Amino acid sequence: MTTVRELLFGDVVGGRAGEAADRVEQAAEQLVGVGALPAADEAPALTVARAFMTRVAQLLDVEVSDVLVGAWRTRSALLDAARRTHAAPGTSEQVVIKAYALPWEYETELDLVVNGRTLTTVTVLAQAELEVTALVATVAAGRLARLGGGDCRMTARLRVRGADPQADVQVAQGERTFAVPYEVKTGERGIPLIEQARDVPAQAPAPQAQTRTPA
Amino acid sequence: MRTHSLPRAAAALLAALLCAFSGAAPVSAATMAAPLGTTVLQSLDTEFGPTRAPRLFTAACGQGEELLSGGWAGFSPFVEVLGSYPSDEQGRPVAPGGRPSAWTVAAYNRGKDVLQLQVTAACLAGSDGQPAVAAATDTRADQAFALAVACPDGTVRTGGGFRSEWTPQLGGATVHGSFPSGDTDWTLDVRLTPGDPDVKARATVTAYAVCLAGPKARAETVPVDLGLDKAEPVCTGGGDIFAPKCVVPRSGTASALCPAGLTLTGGGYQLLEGDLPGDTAVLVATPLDPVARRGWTVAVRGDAPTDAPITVRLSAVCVFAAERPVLDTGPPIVTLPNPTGPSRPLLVALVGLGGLLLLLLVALALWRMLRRDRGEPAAGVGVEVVVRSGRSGYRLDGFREDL
Repeated sequence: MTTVRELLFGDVVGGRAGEAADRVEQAAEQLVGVGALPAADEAPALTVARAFMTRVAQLLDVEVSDVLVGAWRTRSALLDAARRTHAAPGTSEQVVIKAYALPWEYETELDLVVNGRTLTTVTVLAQAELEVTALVATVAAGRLARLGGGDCRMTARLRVRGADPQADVQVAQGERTFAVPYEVKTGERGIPLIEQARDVPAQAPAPQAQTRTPA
Repeated sequence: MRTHSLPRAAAALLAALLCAFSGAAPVSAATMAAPLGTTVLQSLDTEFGPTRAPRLFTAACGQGEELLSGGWAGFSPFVEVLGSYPSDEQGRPVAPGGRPSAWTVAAYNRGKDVLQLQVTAACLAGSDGQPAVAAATDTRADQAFALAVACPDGTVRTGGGFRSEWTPQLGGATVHGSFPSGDTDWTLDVRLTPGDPDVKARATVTAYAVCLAGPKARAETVPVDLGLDKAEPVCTGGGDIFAPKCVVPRSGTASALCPAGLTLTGGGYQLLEGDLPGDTAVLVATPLDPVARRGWTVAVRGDAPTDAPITVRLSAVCVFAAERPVLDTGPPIVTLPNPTGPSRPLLVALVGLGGLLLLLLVALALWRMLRRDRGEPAAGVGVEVVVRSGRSGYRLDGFREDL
């Protein structure tokens, strides 16, 4: 499954050998180039920047499917359908969404510690723009039971902000388009979209299921 | 990491002891021209492939040498130089008042091939001068602006440079001029280069001057005006409806030489007339003239929209030693205690204590040098990145759904 890290730095498996490491290195060089991290007498700037960017890359091992499902759980027609089908056991709904967008942000503060001394605190901001088109989904018992189609274009950016307001630099950017059913696996039990449906398996859609179609 | 303080302290102590023994005064009114030292050029020849971020290349001065200035030779318009500045050996910019030991060039390779770059540091050997960096940083949104920094009184400006920060969103700046101005200043002519078209462009640029303190010296600049040659226009496209697009290839190379007896310490370039043929047109700005070895060399090449005159002024910074006080053999101003003063055993004890301290300092310096050679400091560095806080969420103001 694709992660935000792979979106920003390239595929570790399946990509060109060393591509991801190269892009992390480039980001580190960029941080050094613009002086975004303070100088440490004990260690070369690039060594510190490399360690920093490697840790940031680890933190971004977030699957894009989790980001996508999290968005639907926050606000979507799928969420509304989940509430309805959970309230009326045995029903299911087919939801067709022409277009859907909800930006996601991940912000973290990292202490940069060299030889036990905290040099500075740096803020890292990852942003992803989700754009889903032509999504066909079946919702039953509050769960996403099946995905019949849909494409998602995800654009991600990574910014690093130091203590100095001027030291705000974008160090990575990536974009990828993928088929939603390929990334989001519903499995046999489906994916709960509301809290109450977590322990209830989705039921097979009944033949006479209520269907919502585009207005 | 270089440590000069211990040898200097040892030398000062030794000098004081010798002075005490000889009974000579350190200074008198007599003067003579003192040699300033010798300029040594340290260069780094490298090749680098296409890059998406600027890469840093550093040429460091040798042991016992002091940085004066530096420059680069990029040989290709695809090499975009974003910075050419005094630094430490790791390429970190030196803070104002700090002591530089290397020269760093930050460069992009905008092409598709591996390109060459030569970085040169001009260093002073055999001098007791101490360089320090003067720097001024400014963030501006003007399309073109100048930025200057001055060396403090009592120092000699030996060179200067620049550093421009670039981000994809805010863009950055290209430096169309980096040159000595007046007796103490280093000035930059800066042009804004936009990044994201939806964001107002802004550039953060730092001007650097290297200021030498210590020796009695004076600097003068030697200007040479370079008028760029123009070749036949090169045209592309064009047809029945559209006119062809034409450019005029422009180029020129010149060196500014210091007069005999003066030491080249650095140099700069300034656009006097017209506009540079492209933001990366200054391919070479270096003290390492392969022929004369004492000239500041600038090469410009690029395509201009017209054949209007373009003149670039090169300025070599040349330093010469001024008169300075020297040791005198006349009557001492500072005298040792005479035989009727403190007893001879006390004097012997004082001298012995000084000698012991000197030996300790030498031993400590040797120990630190050996540690550095074994590379222990680097091996012992521990870098940790600790997560302090984190949050993730969705921006509901960007929500859009179409059923």
